[in-house]
Amino acid sequence: MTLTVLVTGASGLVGSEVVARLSGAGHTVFALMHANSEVVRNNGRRLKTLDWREAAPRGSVVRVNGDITKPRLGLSDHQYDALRTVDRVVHVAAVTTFGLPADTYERINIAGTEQVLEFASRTTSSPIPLVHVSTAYVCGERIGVVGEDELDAGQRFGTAYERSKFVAEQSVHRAAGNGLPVVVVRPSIVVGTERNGVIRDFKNIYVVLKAFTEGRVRSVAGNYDATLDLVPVDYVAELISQAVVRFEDAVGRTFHAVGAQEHNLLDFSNVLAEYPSFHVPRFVSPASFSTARMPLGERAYYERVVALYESYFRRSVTFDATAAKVFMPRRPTVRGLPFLRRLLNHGLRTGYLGAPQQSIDSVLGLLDAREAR
Amino acid sequence: MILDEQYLQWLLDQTLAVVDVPSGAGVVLEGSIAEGFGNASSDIDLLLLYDDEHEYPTMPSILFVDGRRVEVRTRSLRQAREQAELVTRLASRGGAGLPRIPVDLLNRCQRLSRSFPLRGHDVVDRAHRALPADQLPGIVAPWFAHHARQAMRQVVALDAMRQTVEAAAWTRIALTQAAKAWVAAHGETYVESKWLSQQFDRIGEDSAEFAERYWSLTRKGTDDGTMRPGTTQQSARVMAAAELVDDFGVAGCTADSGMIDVIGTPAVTTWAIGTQLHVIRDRRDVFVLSPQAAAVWRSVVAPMPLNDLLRCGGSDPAVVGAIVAEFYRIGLLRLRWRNGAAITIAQPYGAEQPSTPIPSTSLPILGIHGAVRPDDDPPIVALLPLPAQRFAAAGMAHVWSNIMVDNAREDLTGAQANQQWRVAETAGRRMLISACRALLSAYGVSPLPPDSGLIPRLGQLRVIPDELAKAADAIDDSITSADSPASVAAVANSLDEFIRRVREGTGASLFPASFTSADAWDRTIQIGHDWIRVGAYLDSDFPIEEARDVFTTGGVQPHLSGATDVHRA
Repeated sequence: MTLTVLVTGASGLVGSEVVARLSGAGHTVFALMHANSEVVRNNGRRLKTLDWREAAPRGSVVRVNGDITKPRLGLSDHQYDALRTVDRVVHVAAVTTFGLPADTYERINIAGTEQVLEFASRTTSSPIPLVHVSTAYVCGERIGVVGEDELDAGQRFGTAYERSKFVAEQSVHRAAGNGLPVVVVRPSIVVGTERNGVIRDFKNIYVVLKAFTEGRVRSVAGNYDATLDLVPVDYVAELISQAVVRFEDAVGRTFHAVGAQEHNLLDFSNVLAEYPSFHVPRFVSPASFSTARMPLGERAYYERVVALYESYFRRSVTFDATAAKVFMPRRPTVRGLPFLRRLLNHGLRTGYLGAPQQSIDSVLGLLDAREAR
Repeated sequence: MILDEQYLQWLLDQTLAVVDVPSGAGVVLEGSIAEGFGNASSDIDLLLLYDDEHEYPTMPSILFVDGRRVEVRTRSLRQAREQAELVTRLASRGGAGLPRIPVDLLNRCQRLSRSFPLRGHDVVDRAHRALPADQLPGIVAPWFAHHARQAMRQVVALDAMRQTVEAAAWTRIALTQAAKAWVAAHGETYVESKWLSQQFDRIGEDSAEFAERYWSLTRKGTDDGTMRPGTTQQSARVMAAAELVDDFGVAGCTADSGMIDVIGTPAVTTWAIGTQLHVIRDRRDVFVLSPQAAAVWRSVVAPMPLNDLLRCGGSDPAVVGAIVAEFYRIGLLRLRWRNGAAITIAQPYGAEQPSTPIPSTSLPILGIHGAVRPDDDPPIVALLPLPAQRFAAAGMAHVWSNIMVDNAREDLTGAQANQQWRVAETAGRRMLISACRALLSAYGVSPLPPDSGLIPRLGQLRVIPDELAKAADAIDDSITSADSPASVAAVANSLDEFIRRVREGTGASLFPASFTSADAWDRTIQIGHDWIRVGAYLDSDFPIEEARDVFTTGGVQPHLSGATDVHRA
């Protein structure tokens, strides 16, 4: 059976791969995104898309210009009503960059999700099955094993991003309680593909790695046994796509989309040391870490880039993924240093890592520009 | 042959009179004389072929008959068959199999295949059928071509690195392997190189020009590495050698260092301690890099073109070349022909790279900033004389002991001020013990002896200056009896002087006074973390659990609240 699917955040890193997989399997995808956006796959290839139309051939991707932060998703009444006939909604759209103003997360991640829930819930007939893409880090700063069926454990959050995704997931669960069929997929930290580390956008953890390896930041508050879970983008997209297609097998479940095995900071320290040009940061216990005596340039980098991720360097968390494994037995298999090498080697191949060093001013200028946007 | 068969049979009879050979065994003459080479002093190489399944050793028996050295080896037909099958199978896999044929095995098979039967012709025929002589050129020629190609690539790389003498030596090796490939392709398959001139001669007129060019280029000349006009990377001699190697039929090794990439080596890691850069090979060997070498090493972004690395930082290519060549020799990085496999150092009968330099004899071995580099004639890369895990453990103990010296000194000062003589005794002894620990760990002693054995151990080690050992002994005696302001002050002065000399001798004179300011404490903790980083990689032992606590809890001090500055009146 072929499906029609509305995908929010269709131009994003995960969204574009979900669109590609669904359309590649013959499903018709309505790709909700900002005006003038394109659907560019993780490998840089642009997907062929069609202008807005109500009906489209199997396997096609129809561009829908919209905005989840606006009432009725920023669509015309006609489009809104027409799209409510889709078979599935996949809600990927979110802001994942750290360090933005709190209201940005409120507006996009929380209120945006509410808009999508309203879209999926209030149909004249039955509600539209929804696959909601959350994050494994809705667990906040919990340590130990976190189950897929756990959400509110009174946790503290390391970032406003995590908190916003937590609140959004609570909304999703409320909607599910009111009869909306829902599957929640929680990716951990999304990185390059399992096979060769390819990634379209060097964001989030990559920015931190760049600051470390270029020696911009020499010391960081963290524990060697803290763990980070890195998940290949292709696995995440495949799990979401499977949840869409095999919705009946998944409904009501939450899946942790996580890597083959979490990495601890010692893994990062050891693998960075394999690259002659890379600097390896010192992980200093958060107990008394202070940026006060850092050189000015290093402190600027630390506070503007690394500090946003600091809480990740002191947590030791393992995400249980039993339900995800049962639902889709194919799991990432490359673990440990070999996987980190693939990610770093791709960064080197593309020149993102190991490139001539930019001046501090230019990098901070870029960050300012991003925040202004 | 230079010897007639009748004489050979007589030699065999004489040999069999002292060598026990079962009836039915085959006997062949192999090697130089069987090939038609040799001279009056050439050995007689006899091989006994037994029609059985046993595994006979390759070691020959050596006799002297009629003034000639006779070497007698033994092989079963099963061994002969299996050896021939292995060589044939590996050769059939081309580039993937040829490097895996050891020269000894190839030589053994070639010699048997081209041997002259003396006894037991039936057995000998069966041995010959395992690897007929007419198949030898198809195996021996590509085998030599593989080695020639690798050697010539090595030449191109070393030449680009301005390693003129080494490149010249490898040029001779590359040319000889290429010549051997060429003569083998013309039916001259004898493996060793000593009869190459006669092999050229037997091929006839076709070989004259090749032979002349070969002998001309392999003669030790006055190659000064002059660059050929119009090129920047390769010397004229190397260009000529590469042309001849190519004419010998060995492709894939043109004199173009632009074809060579630098690639990384597994299990080679880089560790900065303070301002010093260390490279650890195979989690075992620690190398400390000179500042120039460290700058070049930091420029390696593998894979990268060799020429780019040689141009790094706009430095003198000869200086950078010498550094890169040393990295390559000791296996810190590898080279790869563009789109090919890593260049393997494939000199028949030669040692394989990576090599290992002579370990440094500098003493002490380490200080707070890592390895101590030799002062006089410092090498580009110095190998430390202790294994990596012990280096890291000793380094952590050294830093920790220095911290404990300062800690104890603070306690001693407090006890003096309050006239607490027994507290002062304990603090003073802790200061002395910690200083001795710092001293011994700087010499690579790890694990350290128990506290009770530290001071006696100083006296036993000839590398520790005698006056230091005696001073430690004297302070140890005087601490117990110090029970007045004057005597405790005298002990404290002796301790300060002892510690000054220990730190001066171990390069720790600038050890941050870790208990006097938060900045200094920060620097101490940073050095400690540099050591921990490498210690964690190697899973080395922490000096004591308390050290682990200090380092891993960020260094909250026992008497200061966090890292807050405390100003004294």
